[in-house]
Amino acid sequence: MKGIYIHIPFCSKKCIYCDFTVFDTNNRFLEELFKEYTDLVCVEIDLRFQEILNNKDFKTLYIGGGTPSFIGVENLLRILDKIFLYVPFSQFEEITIEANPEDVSLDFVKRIKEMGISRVSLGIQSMSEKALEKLSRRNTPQINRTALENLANVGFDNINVDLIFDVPQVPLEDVINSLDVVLQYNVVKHVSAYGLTVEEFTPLKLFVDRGIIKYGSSFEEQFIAIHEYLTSRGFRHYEISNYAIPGYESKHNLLYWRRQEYLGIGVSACGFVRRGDSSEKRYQNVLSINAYRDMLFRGELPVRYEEFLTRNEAFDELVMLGLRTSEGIDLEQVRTFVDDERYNIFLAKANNFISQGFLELCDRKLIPTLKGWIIHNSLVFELTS
Amino acid sequence: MFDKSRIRNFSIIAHIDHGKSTLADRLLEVGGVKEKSDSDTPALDFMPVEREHGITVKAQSATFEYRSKDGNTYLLNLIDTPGHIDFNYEVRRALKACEGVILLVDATQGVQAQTITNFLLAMEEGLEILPVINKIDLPNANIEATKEEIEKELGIPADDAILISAKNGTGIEELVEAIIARIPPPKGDVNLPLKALVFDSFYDNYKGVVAKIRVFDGVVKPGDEILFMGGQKKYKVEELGYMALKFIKKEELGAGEVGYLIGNIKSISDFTVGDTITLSSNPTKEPLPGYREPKPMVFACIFPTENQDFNDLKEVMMKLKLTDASIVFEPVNSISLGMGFKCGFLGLLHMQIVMERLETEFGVSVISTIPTVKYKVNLKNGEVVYVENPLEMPDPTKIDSIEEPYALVTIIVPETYIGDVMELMQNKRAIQKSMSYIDSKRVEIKYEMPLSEVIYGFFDNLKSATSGYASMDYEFIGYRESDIVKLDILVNGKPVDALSFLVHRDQAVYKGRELVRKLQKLIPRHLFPIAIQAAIGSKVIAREDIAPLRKDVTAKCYGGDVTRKRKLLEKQKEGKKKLKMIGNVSIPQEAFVEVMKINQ
Ligand SMILES: Nc1nc2c(ncn2[C@@H]2O[C@H](COP(=O)(O)OP(=O)(O)OP(=O)(O)O)[C@@H](O)[C@H]2O)c(=O)[nH]1
Ligand code: SF4
Ligand SMILES: [Mg+2]
Repeated sequence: MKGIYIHIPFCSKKCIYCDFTVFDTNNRFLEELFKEYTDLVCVEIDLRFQEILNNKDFKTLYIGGGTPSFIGVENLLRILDKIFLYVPFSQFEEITIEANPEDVSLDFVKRIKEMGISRVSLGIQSMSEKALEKLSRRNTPQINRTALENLANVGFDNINVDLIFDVPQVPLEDVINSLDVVLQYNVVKHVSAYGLTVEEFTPLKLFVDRGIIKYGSSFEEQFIAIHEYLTSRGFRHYEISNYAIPGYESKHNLLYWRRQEYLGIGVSACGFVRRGDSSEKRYQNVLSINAYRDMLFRGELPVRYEEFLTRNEAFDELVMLGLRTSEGIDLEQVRTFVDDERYNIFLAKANNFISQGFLELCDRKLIPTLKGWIIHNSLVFELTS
Repeated sequence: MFDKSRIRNFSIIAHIDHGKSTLADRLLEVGGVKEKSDSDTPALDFMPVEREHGITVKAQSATFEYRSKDGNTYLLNLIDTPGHIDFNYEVRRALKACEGVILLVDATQGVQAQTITNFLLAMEEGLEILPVINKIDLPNANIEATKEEIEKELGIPADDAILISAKNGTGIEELVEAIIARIPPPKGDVNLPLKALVFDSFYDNYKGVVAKIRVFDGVVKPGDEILFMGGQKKYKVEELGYMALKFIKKEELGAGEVGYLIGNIKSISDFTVGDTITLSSNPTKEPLPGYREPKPMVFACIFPTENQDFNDLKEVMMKLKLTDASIVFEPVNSISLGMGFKCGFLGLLHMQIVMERLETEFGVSVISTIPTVKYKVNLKNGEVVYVENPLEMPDPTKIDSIEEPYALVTIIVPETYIGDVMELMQNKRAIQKSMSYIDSKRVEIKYEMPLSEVIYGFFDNLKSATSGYASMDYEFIGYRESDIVKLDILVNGKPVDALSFLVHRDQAVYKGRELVRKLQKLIPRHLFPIAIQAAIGSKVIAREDIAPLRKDVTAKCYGGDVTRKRKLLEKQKEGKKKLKMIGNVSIPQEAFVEVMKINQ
């Protein structure tokens, strides 16, 4: 099983906490820009698929950003059509698009439904006015509601909502209230709940450093409260930040954590491909549109770097990604990556974490507990060093 | 072999930054050893630490030929020496290989504290002294005043002092002619049995141990069997020659010559700088006097970090000792840090340089305990013990009294800064002994103060209090009784012996608090709470807590994040190499470094 990821690097306004590669679209001729970008993405799709002999394995498609909904339906349609030239529509088990609520008009949802999109991931972030304001988002609770209604009305039944918690000065009640509102729509089968992260080089970081925004993290409290709430409502907590009604887990995202292959297409997109049994390659595309255009015009893949993973690196990834999910990591698989000595050290450390309640052993698999997830980085660090 | 009468061996000595290494560059250029260049980094300052700090740490020698106006070709051997007080020992060693010195004085600064100290060393050795005034290109150069100071302060005539600019090359030829004319050729006799001094050495990865020697009598050739008279070890000479930024092989080295020698020297420990070399078949009767062992002033223990091995460190310390004979060390065992070395350094800068060299030149990372001076402890039973490490402090109930070392500090400063100096000295437990004018604008002030106050950053404080105008020197004058206590640091109730230090009681609470606060910032959060305490005996005088990790998780990790997150993990692991485990708490190397600074 393989996936395809397509990156749309535009947002109408960059959010203060965002460290993705997105381009501010102020003072640009948007229509021309989006059209050109779409053309370029189509060229890359051609280039990428020329190399690929077996297209049968591609089962998921994910259009992310940025804000894919922002570039308009026509452009999205062109991208999908291009993809379907190489991988027939019927072969896909999941086609997701990310959308911001303010773009989700009735017309928009109708058109994307027609296109064959099966899953929509909606960047709601919160149902609290105060929180949305703090995050300087464009949407309001009312816009969020309308978006959900529109989606439900045209028959989307596999909706993810993105929520942010642990926002400075936004209390737990507001978070739980947001969940309450969202779950009134039974088409919401998936919730991604992200603890706000103060990333380097973001305005948020600047504000926090200068004391303009006071940030005393209540991550742990809210993380646990959300877990209790959603699991009691039939959701399965299947990844640190992801919950789903069983059967509605994101197939595409699972592929990342299971270290399965995916093509990355678009500016700054990353991909992961295997050649033969052993060689594993990660690549990332160039970060600027100019470089992207130049390389494609020259007929080159717009790659910024690529690396072939060593066994150690693959092992680090296995632990880092595996422990994000409730599937955990398979001890047999660990064994194939490390020698006996290192394996024994690994086991000793894992046992120590089991006794402290951070991990559990189940069917020869190491599964993180809720407590373990909260300190995921420390677990990974210890287990891989 | 070169005709002895046309050999000149000399050192360049001066106060720090007066331009010794820059002058050496110019001399190497007229000697054709080095291409002309405008580089600001002197060719002889080739150690990475020297380039980093812009100072000379190690004396370096270079040999070149020069055709004089008199028509003869001379063999000149120069040794560039460091100016900083901590490396004084390097100067002493260099002088033993010379017949004369260039005493360089910066015309914008005049005679400074180390000008006097180094001048006195050269006098002690009975060397010919050539006063040379440098930096005359600078607009604020004051040649007349500098001459006056040389005459008044050093008591030598200065009207024939040579005026140069080491930077732009003015006066260099004249200087070389003066060296030839005024510095005497070496004495000694090629027909006597071999007598050569090992004045320096180092370890080369390809050639092994390399000795730098000065031949006083006789001749030495490849193939000779030589005897190290101190170590009583015999070796066969494999190669010898001159040093001139590179190694120039020669057939022999004879009386008066300076060069390098490589033998099949296997063990680094067989060998000491200051030893005398002779031929085993025809040995000389008396060895040369050698060197006085340098007196370390600052002591600290160093330990390998997490991923490093004690045996590697031991090997490296031996190699370091070859190039830096002034460092003394012996193994020590710490409960919290394991096996390491207790080291004696000549000063804090020396210690810092050694630590950096270990890391950059030898690739071992170490952590050190807080540097300390040597205390004298009088026990109730009448015994006296010297303590160079808080770990060695006897049980307090057995102690009658503790004495700490005192120093006589000489400060030279423009009179406008007298007030600033006095202000600074107030917090240093210093007693003023004298004050006198050395010229119309500058005074010399002498203080007696605890050596520990001198070594911890005092020089930096003095420099900044006087806008860089003060220079200073100090000498040990003896022990005086003092109220010294041992301050312990406890991490989760466990004493970390490596963080203990000895301190005057009046400063204990302040320093204890400061240290605990710093550690709280430097030790990362763990999965469990951590308490950091400072205590004197069983009395806790300061405490800070580190709350356990509440959140150590990345919210998002999708296809685009994997590489970046993995690289972050790798970096974190790289950082871990510099951690030291105390019980189950990992303490970063910086913590130990910060702790060192606490005393400043
Ligand atoms: N203008 C001017 N600057 C000089 C002259 N000679 C040296 N300098 C500068 O003075 C500074 C110190 O020179 P160095 O040659 O490193 O001094 P040093 O005496 O070897 O210093 P240490 O080895 O640390 O004691 C450097 O910045 C030189 O460029 C000179 O004749 N004129
Ligand atoms: S909408 Fe998403 S991608 Fe765009 S700026 Fe905001 S957080 Fe970043
Ligand atoms: Mg120098």
